[in-house]
Amino acid sequence: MTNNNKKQKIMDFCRVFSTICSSVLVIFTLFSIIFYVFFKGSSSLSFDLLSSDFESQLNVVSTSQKTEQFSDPNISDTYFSFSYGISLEDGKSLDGENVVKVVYVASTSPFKNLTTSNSKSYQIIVGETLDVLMGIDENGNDVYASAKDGAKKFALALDKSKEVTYLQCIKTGGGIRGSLISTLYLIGLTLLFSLPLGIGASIYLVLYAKDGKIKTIIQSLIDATSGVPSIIFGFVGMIVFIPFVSVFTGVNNYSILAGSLTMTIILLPIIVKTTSESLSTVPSNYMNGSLALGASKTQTIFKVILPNALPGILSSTLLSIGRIIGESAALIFVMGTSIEDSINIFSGATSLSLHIWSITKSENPNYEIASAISIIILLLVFAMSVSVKIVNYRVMKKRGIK
Amino acid sequence: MRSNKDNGNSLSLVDSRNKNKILIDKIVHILFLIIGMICASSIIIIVFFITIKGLRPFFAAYENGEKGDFGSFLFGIEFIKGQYGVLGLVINTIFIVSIASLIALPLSVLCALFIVRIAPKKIRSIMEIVVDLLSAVPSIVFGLFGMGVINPLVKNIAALFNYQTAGGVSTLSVIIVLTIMIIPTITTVSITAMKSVKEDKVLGSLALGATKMQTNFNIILKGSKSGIIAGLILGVGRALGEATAVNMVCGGASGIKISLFDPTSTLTSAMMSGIHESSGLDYDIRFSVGLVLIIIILITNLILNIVKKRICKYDK
Repeated sequence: MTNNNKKQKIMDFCRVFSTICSSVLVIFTLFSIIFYVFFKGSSSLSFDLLSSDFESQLNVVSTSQKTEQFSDPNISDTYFSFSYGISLEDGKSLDGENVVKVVYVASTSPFKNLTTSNSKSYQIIVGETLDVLMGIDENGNDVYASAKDGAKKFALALDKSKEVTYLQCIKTGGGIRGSLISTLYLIGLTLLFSLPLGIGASIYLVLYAKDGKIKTIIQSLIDATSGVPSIIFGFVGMIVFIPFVSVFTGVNNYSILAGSLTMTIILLPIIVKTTSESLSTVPSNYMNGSLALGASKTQTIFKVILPNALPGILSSTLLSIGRIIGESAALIFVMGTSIEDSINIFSGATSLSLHIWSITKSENPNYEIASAISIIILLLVFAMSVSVKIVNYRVMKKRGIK
Repeated sequence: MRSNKDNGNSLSLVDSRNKNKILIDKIVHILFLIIGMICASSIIIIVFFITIKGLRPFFAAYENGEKGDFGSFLFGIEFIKGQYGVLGLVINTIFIVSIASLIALPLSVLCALFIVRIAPKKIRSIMEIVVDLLSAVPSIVFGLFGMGVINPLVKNIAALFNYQTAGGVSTLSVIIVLTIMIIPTITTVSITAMKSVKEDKVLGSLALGATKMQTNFNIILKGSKSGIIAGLILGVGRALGEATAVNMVCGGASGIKISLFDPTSTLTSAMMSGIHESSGLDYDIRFSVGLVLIIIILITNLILNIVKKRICKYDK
């Protein structure tokens, strides 16, 4: 008997141990993903990344020395040009190359009023980088410097040259402003199309359709859509929605509009399912009461049922937003993979996920930037998932108390 | 809603209002029916267009004289330009997905059991949050994680066996990434199934002298069989259809690849790679691969549903 007991205890221990092990493994995977993404990306995640353009902007400018001598603001590790009043610093670009960065510009510096090669005035902003300098010194000799020489030599060369005839000012690129904006456009447009359709379909299924063939067919067709892998949606978007959009624009190319139409059919089953659930939990007394008071069915639906199903609609919206932010496979085929800065809904652009895809498919993948974008995506998606939980919890609590 | 027949004259105004209301009701009803039809028709559009485009290569020659051959498409091993055989891709896909789900199934079921039955209340809610968050992670992040962490890891493991990998892109990386991706799917469904096992059965088992763990494993697991298989169906579906993450870690080699440390390519990765640069037959053949993918997903669902019915035959 005791022997049996011992065996039993060992068996039980093994069973508990196996469940704990697999749970620990699941926790470990989530944390290693989060840890990797934060570890790699947190250093690149900055306001500059969010607000700057992807394409770097190059301006060729010229200027000449003033008689004035500027005073050094004495910023550590910078080199000051006394005759031009700017401080330069050695830095690295987002791609990891050596650059000369402007960290300070005196208020009366000639760099506040530069002339570009097509004779427009241009003002340098702190944070821009300088490359290739050509100038003329007091004796009429040529002066050269480039970013490779480092900030110290660059500042000296600047001081030497009486007149700067050619200077490249580069607004650093690599930012994700364009992708952020196009993601917002994508979310807005998709919700605009999918919410009315999804809510309408679920109203029909829950409140109008009588149990029978039509209801079953519609229900099972919508359910079947949810099992289709997203790459197939992408293919459909490519051969259906891109030509459809091109009817209006005349250009047969990727577009955010086509992307949002594709996302709409991806999201329909999710929205229909969530909304149907919340519609069917609205107590039938509400409907009967409203009808008994003389309201028509239409009035009842729009004024009684829908307001009561609002939490469900909200959570389906949140779920949809999370899905849109994370979706990549379908959108690659309808929105393209080239990163744009000027966003137009009739032309292609990258959402945040596609931005990552685009980075990882390039020659030298920049994992830091990709991870930084992943942090943003994860934070947004987690926020959506938690808010859905909170909405549901509050509804349960409210219904429970009632 | 209902007109009063006795006082017809005095209520004629109300009558006409009611008629209006009824008319509006009918219009709204039809409107919602149309919306429902539109939503339902999306799957028909999908199947219709993929089928047309996917069968196109085998029926008419292209401008440059190319024409797909149905036989060599179905039974060809290599999938490269000019020679499109899908069999190798199918075998790779089924191999990878079945191993991934075989690893993920026990892990997720045990994890679900831990959450529902064993863990203390606080740990339980933490675990539930963890599973929720893991299932919310988008596939592009899994792909990035695969490229940044799993590929180097696989490379090092292969180096232990003195095996040179192509930077870690391999069958093993795909299997690991897919396993991580489908664990939360199966776990979530299993949790729901295990929660709905009747408490009477548990108490009965305990009263008969079974230990808590025996009860958990024999009663709870057996009682939630159908739910677990439903989760497996969802997980396998997700693994079969996953494209982005797989494409990022598979490497894209042609032919049947069973070796764990060699680059591979699956149905989805073949559909994805190079489609932007292709045209004509090279472009359309990817739709045929898509058609094959849909058919495989349908067949897998069918088989698993039959298995589910067989296993759960005597439960009710």
